[in-house]
Amino acid sequence: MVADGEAIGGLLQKLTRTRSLDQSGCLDNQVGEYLPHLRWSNKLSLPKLFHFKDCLFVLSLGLLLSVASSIATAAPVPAPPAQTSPETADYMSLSLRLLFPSLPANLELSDITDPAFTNFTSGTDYLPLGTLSDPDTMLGSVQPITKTLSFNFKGGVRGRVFSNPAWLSVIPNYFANRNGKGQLDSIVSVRQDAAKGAGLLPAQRNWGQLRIVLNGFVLDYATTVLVGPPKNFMVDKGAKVFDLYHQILSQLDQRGDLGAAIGTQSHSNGSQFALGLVTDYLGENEYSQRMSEADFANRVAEVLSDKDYGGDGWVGFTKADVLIGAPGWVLGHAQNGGDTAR
Amino acid sequence: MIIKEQVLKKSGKKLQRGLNLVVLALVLAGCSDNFLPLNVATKYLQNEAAGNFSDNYDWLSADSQLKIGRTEYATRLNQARQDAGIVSINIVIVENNPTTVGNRASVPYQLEVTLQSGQKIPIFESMVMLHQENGWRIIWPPQ
Repeated sequence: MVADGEAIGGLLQKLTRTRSLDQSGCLDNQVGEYLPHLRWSNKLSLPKLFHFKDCLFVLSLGLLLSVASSIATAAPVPAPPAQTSPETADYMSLSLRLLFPSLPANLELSDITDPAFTNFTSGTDYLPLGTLSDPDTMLGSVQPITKTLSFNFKGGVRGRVFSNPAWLSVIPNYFANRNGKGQLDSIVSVRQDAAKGAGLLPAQRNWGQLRIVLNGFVLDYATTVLVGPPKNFMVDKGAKVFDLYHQILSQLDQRGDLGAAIGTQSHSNGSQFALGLVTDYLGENEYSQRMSEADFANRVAEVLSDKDYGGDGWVGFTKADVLIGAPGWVLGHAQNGGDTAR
Repeated sequence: MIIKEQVLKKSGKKLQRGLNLVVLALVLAGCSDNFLPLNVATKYLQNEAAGNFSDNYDWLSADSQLKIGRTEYATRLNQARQDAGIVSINIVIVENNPTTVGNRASVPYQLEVTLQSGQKIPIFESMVMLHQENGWRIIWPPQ
């Protein structure tokens, strides 16, 4: 993906998709180009049922009602939070600072020339990363899926790229173009690293998010990797997958945590996360027949709700579970937040 | 006689205006559908299988539609399908017992995706939905 300097005020004019390396390691050509933007309204045409005066009357009525409603429900505007450190200054929005509190952003822009922003609107775009038909190919040092985000700058630009979840990696993720023209290539890749909690779930589209912040402008990308099932997963196990899935729901429901199956802060699509773990469990022959379905359902329910249901002081999969086949990147934690070995 | 005609004309106009308001109310009421999460998920997946991404845009939540325009949504998803080498998508099952908590719902489903290589990949996913004024709508991107 290449960004050229004119449209983002010499910051980002066009973004051109380039798959730098496909799964077989071959270099591809550019496959398209686009300028990300938002459509705020769509044309609406109604049959001519009403006279203009009638429409005007109804619209005015609606407007009045809407204004009255907003006045009635308007909450007082909270005062902006006080700056605690110049190192985490207003370069990052409040939501970003809350999301990544450990990342200081030195936003001293005094050495940066003014960029010329023209016609730049932000929104969410979609950057598919491809297909990984065999999840086992993720093991080892080979990175089979890689794309390049290229930006051509004109003027002063300081930027950061954030990625979520941990399997999505962007290097470099911090850059600056003090003045004049410049180009930056950021490599977007997929990684499997248990120590960083990075791993892909089998038999589903794994969704990730990239957030690019350029001098305060935010541009979001949704990304996906389609991952195939584990090698030993039999297609006729579909019914079994849903059976186990319902066991997990049952565990959550018994404790009044069913909402975690829909989504939580750490798992925005809890059910899909659970289904991925279930296919992994069945594909790994129920972790070599060493973990019962009830225990597995309990572990997954704990992961989703982030609570200790078993009363053993541990939330989710234990180190012993990982040794018998559970994915290392979903290793749980002690209930008190520590890392006591289990 | 003339006065009578004018009165009739005026009352006719009032009647027409009243009728128009009734029709408008019906149109507005029609904007809120009564589809259950299962119905919405099924329609969305059927469109996805057929490659009708533009039609699916109507099933996205208001917030999701603010994030991306209809053309971009359809173009990107179509391109993604080609990039992934997907030849066809077969809906195996849409769970008829979705999880619903408050105004949020999750509908699990199974698809079978056929790649250009001929490989068939089973997919187990779930769709997160939000109940809005116009009915159940899908949150995109899903994670």
